[in-house]
Amino acid sequence: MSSLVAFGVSETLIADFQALRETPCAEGNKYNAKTIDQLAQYICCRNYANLTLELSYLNWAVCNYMQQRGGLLSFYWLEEAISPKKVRHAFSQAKSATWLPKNTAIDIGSQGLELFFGKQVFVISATRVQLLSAFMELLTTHFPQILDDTEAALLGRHESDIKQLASLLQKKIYKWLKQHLPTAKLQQRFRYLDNWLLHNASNSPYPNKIDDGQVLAFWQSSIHEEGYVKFTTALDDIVLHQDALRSIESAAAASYGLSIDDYAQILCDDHDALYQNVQEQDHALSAKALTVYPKFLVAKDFERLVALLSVYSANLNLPLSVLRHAIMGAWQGRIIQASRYSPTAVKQQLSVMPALQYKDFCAQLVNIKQVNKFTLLCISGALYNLQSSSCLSVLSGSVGDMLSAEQGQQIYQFISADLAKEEAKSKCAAESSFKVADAEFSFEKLQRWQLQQPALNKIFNAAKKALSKNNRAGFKAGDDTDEELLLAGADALNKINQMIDTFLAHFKQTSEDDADTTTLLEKNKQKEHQHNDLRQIYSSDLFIFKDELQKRHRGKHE
Amino acid sequence: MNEVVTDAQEAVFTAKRQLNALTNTIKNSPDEKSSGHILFNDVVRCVCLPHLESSKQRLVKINSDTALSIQYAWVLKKVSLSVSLSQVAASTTELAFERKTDMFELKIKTDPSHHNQAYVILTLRQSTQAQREVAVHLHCCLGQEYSVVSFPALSNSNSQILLAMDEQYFRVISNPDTQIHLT
Repeated sequence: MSSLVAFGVSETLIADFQALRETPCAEGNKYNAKTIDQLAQYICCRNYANLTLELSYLNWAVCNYMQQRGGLLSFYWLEEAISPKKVRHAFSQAKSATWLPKNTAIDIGSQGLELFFGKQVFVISATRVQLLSAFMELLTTHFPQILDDTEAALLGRHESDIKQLASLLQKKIYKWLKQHLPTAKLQQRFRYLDNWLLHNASNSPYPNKIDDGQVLAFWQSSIHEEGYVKFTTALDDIVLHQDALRSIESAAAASYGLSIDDYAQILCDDHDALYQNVQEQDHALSAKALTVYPKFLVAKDFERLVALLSVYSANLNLPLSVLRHAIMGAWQGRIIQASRYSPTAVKQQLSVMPALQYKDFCAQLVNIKQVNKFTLLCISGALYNLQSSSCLSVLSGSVGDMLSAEQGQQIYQFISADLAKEEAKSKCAAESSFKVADAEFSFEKLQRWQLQQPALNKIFNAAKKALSKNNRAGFKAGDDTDEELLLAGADALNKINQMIDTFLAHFKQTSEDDADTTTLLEKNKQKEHQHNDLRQIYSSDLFIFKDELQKRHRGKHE
Repeated sequence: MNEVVTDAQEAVFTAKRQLNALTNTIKNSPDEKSSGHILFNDVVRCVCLPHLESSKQRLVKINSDTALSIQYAWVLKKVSLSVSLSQVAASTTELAFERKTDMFELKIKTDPSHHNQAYVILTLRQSTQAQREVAVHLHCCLGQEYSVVSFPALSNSNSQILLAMDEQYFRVISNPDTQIHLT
């Protein structure tokens, strides 16, 4: 299935963004992953009018100030002056430039680049230049004449020419995106799905009411509908459909005094409102950025988590659909690959069955959770090396296995008492047995606690040891990763582990409270029972999917 | 449900579907390397850092794609320090054994001991640090096709290479129709 049908995005645009992420420069990558995600969001929400204007202002400054130094080519590509520091350096002498058009001036202020046109001033934040540069890269790749055209239109010109150029450019982009981001098919699919849910969902088709059976029924009944060959597409669409409504409801609730209808109307009319709404989704969990730098997750584990993260981030309770997405979806993927070769290859793939069973997938998740705990320990170690007191709160997600409940409680009480002594207002949240939330304390104090509490000391030693063993990007010796990045990663890993727990809880037969009282023999029995249960689900799903996949993929060549 | 809410829901659905494709792309097939896709940045690198293996691979692709070779020519024109145009005076059947521009001189001398080999000697009137310490590159354009002949770092404003006369590089650099850019 072409990406135009599946995602409403051309292969070219997907390749552009992939290449933007991997664009090299003198040191590492030219653009960071977040910048490219942000650009993608502007483009997908068609919220590029202001971005185009901002870019045109920046280009005016570059053309006019740097005309002798190679202009746009030099600024964006030869000097790559796109980091805040380099931008400031590139324009550091701009204030004294005498060759700018009459009544204009350029200066570097606390916010960034300040462009003066008579009494008007336009400010471009130095931190935005990387985003604007990535946008320029995309535009230049597709409209190479933009460099000559921009210089011709802006050199020696005034503010009105900038606006005129921006509006011309905007029209060009609109025309170009029509080919690369066609929405008609997606809209058709949305209407079809919306209609199906309205007529077929036994209960209300609105958030959190969809169940696994309905997801499967939707896919089965959409066999002749374009775009729904794959089970994974059907599930992803349902998740997005539900999530879209949820996000509209919550955004309307958050904007004071707006009814959901009023908010919806604004969203339909205003690209910026759409952009804001889409931004609300939890990027930390969907972004592949977790696998890049610092490498919090390996790519293979991330791909295993894709379905779980998308379903559970949207607050939907569809455990079986996650299993089906992971196991049956992968099987269908192989069958589709085979269908490009021959009918015999399809037959063969149909007979070899999925590579993994449901219980194997659950075991993989348990394993990922363990790896994440190790990574959290490493993050804590790295924060400790940065002398950040937040290393203590990060630990809480990973030390459960290393401390007895008693020890945890003891440390918690000790820290609470110590803090209470000095500052009565410090409140320690007792969410977990070992968590100091919102408490202000210095790193020096932490070091003193370590001396007083050997168990705490032991844990930090373990964290440092774990870190020294971690060879992934961002955790190596001398990597000096930013504190903010580490904390965001820790937050994401904790959320992922929580989702894994919520998911796995569906397949557990006993509650955690009984765990202590049951004997080993009973525990094994329960484990066996749980596996049997998963095995039964798997066998019956296998039957259903084999039938469906035969209908969909066999006979295409016959 | 109100129609406008459904419209808004559709807009969010569409934008997110497209956004997912651009932010969480899982490559269609693992053998398909995205490095094959060329952005303007790659064209600039290809001109400025022609010695890199990735640039050599990309140049092949640029030569086979008209739109890309136009971009390449544009960048080359911007960054080249000096150009020796096609040698109009010489007959095309003859080889150009000497070229001169305001910045460089190129001479070709056959090796007296091996008749199928020739020395290509490059002399620069002024040089950059990179040319003195790393390498000197000549970008040659013959009939819409670009190739790069690299010389070792200069010593006393000179650098030379030995080429077999049946080699492609020799054919290009000795052809009077070739345009030669110094970068």
